[in-house]
Amino acid sequence: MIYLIEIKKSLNEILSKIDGDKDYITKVAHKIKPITYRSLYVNESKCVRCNLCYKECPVNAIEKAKIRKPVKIIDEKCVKCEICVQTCPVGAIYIIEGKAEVKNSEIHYLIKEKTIPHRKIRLKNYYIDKDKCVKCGICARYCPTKAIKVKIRKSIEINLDLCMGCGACMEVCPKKCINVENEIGEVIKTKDIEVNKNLCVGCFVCVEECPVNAIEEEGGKVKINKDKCILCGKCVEVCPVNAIKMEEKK
Amino acid sequence: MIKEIIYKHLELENKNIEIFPKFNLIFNKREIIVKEDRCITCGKCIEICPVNAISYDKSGLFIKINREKCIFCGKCKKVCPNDAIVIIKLKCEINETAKIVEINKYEFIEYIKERCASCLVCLRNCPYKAIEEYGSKIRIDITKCELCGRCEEICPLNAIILR
Repeated sequence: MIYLIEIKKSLNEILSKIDGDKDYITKVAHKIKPITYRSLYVNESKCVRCNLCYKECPVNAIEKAKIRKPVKIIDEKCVKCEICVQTCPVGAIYIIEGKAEVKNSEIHYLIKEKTIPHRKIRLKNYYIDKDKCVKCGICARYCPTKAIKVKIRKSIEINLDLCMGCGACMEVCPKKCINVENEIGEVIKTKDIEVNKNLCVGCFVCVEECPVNAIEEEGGKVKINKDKCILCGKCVEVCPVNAIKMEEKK
Repeated sequence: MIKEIIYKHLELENKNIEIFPKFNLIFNKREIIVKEDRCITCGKCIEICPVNAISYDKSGLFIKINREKCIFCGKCKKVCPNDAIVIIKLKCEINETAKIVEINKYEFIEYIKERCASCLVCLRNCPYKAIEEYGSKIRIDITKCELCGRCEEICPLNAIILR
């Protein structure tokens, strides 16, 4: 899954299966623009049940984790805004990007893992009610940095120097005796989005499709509210006249 | 080996695929051992240990190392007059042919900025205070860093890799 894989297939072999004028088909095939597709995966063995992704997801596409069940991404709801990937404190969510491209006489398929900058997560306050704690040791099992040391039924010790503030212990505690306050940084905007007002015909399809209602009407055209926008790219897909452009920031 | 798995998995007839060399670390373990037959119980290692992880055992004849405290800095190994302390660093990495590499000493430290969540766990736990906050992320002072590997061990996002 972590590998970058490149597969090459001969274009002629694939085109020979299509009936019709050979020259014309080859001409069209060379005009096809590269297709990219992204998929999000959860590495279930890494998931620490902190539920930060569940809380941060703007479209509720993540099923809440329980002790026996890691988080799950609901594919039908997911808009691939990548906020959960930026948030996950243990890097358990991956983006796999597949790309197909026609190059000379070959088709190149490229599968790779996309690297996304991580947003800030930091511990602010930690509170544990030691009288309520039953020293069951579940929190120690999920702590990603091994900051909690538990001797079952005897003692619990927390090294706050090792705590990163993900709040996994708070979520899994059966007695709810841990309270973690953490500081989560702003979502890092990796892309720029722009509406070309000259091309926009004011059909408002994007307004309807936007999962976070970030697009507003303005004088017969549309306007994107950049504070609300999660850069998922749904509007770019549905726009019938390609008036919305989204590009990676350099 | 990896290539063969991919051929099988994707049912490819012609083996016209390329795998780009990318580091994949699946196992990283460090171990410290005291050779009891060589140890002369001189106590030099106890004096030099920066985290007080070494002590005499109950009988006073041997030394023992607290594995939880040890930061694998290698100072005890340097002062030991009889070479009784061995530090093993084992890494298993998969490239095109899977192999296990034994490393005596790390040579450089790599910091992957994108992965860092700036939780500052490494900063608080660095035994040499070589990590400092820099902007919204961190910075490693290479002149102070002794390549002990503590930060790599605790980083929850694998943002620091030693080779």
